[in-house]
Amino acid sequence: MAAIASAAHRDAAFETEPDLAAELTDGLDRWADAFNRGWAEDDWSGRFGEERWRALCAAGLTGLVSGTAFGGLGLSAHQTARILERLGTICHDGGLGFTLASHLCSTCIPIERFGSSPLKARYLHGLATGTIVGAHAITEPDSGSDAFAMRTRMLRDGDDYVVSGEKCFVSNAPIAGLFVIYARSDPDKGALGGFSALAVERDTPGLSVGRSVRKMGLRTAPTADLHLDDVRVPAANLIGREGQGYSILDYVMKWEVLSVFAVQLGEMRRRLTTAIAYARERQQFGVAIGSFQAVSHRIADMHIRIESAANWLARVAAAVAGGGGASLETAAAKLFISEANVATALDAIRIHGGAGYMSETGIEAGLRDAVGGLIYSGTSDIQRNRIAAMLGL
Amino acid sequence: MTQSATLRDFICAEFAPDLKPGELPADLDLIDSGIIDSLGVLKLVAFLEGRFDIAIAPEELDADLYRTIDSIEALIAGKRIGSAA
Ligand SMILES: Cc1cc2nc3c(=O)[nH]c(=O)nc-3n(C[C@H](O)[C@H](O)[C@H](O)COP(=O)(O)OP(=O)(O)OC[C@H]3O[C@@H](n4cnc5c(N)ncnc54)[C@H](O)[C@@H]3O)c2cc1C
Repeated sequence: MAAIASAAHRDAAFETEPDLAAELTDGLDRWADAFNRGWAEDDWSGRFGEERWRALCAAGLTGLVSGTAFGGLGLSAHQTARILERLGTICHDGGLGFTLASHLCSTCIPIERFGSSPLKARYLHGLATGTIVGAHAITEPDSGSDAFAMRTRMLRDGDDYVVSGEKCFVSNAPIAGLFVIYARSDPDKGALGGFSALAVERDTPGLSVGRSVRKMGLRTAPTADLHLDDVRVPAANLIGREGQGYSILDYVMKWEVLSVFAVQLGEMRRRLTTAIAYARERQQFGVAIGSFQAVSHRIADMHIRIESAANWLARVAAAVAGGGGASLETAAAKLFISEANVATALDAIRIHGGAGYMSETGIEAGLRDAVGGLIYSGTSDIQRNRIAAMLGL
Repeated sequence: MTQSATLRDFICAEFAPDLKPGELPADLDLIDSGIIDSLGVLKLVAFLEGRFDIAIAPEELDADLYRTIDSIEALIAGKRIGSAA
């Protein structure tokens, strides 16, 4: 953790001190080899790179958002986004960045913000040091976009809740030690007041994690379904108040957009740098391909998308830091950055021609990884619905 | 226009076009009556923040605070006292 922690603890005025910002983010560059070792083979076989995860933990990244009292760095939204962006720039393993972002927003964020003191004391240290991996379970076989049609229920029984239901597509599930499970706690209430969030340990009797499912991309980030059969969880593991699930998830989703897409912003920047270098170096018809307007304009479009994505992300960071609602900004940022990531990844393949399509160059993985971003955290259609609704339609 | 009238105008225009702002009872349960749903609360929050220059914390995304015109006005008033202090 020492690599970046020393600067973070001196941080009060980070936003206005570019030297400290640089120190924090530059500290990460030393870890690039450790973050990348063996990722291409693991991407191919769909293996989670435990040694790369340990490198992230050692660099302090699992503790970005947890308080210093619990071994974390207690960074702000801006700081976290900036560091995750740098991670995306240096780390080729898109699944690793996704695993980290999921870890941070699924468990660290809701427990840090809404959790009771005992809950923080029990889990935040393990989460901050990365010895416990976090995951959250919202989606169910019959409720995806319509998340609050979920059927998983939690019933109070003495000092416990008893939870039953099915969850699917849970990122990090195969490696997680702690799940935040969203469930219906009051069948008579709707999204507002009818749902709650509960911290559930992996080895709780009745909780079973399915096999790791194969995916198009993000293959080093393991995913599985959960089955909950009368899982008895201490009521003390309730996050926030009973019925607060909607507000917790709304806050978590802002952080999810911020953290997952900060990594993607970094990935897009790396892609642009690589594409420019290739366009300068690769010769066809006796000249560098970058001298063809078809190629240089593609690069110009990539640049514009990246800078626009950075602006949207900054707006989400400001909103998260300021404590405002920011529903429109979050939806617009998620929609824009995820679509920009796919477009940029495809452009990178086009610019590299056949070499871009071959797995050995590591360029095609970017497209496979990017497509997931159109779906998780609310699909592009759902974001458009939300933006239109916020505009009064 | 008073704060109350501004609020009523917005709620009627956005969520209950069949109602007249002046006829909206201050104690009508906007959530149980189905006038404002979960997405509606997010729209209302965005409106309150923009119009009354207040910030609403994540913990305040609580149905009870937006249940009636009275409770929404109390939320705004509380924020204004807080920011004046
Ligand atoms: C890589 C990845 C990681 C994920 N990680 C997690 C996780 O950690 N935890 C978790 O709980 N879930 C996770 N998910 C699940 C994800 O949140 C859902 O897949 C997503 O919300 C969409 O739900 P669905 O798959 O059921 O699709 P559906 O909701 O069935 O949607 C199918 C299609 O219909 C469209 N559609 C649906 N409703 C509307 C509407 N009202 N208007 C317009 N179009 C609509 C959608 O846009 C989509 O095109 C993950 C998914 C992926 C791909």
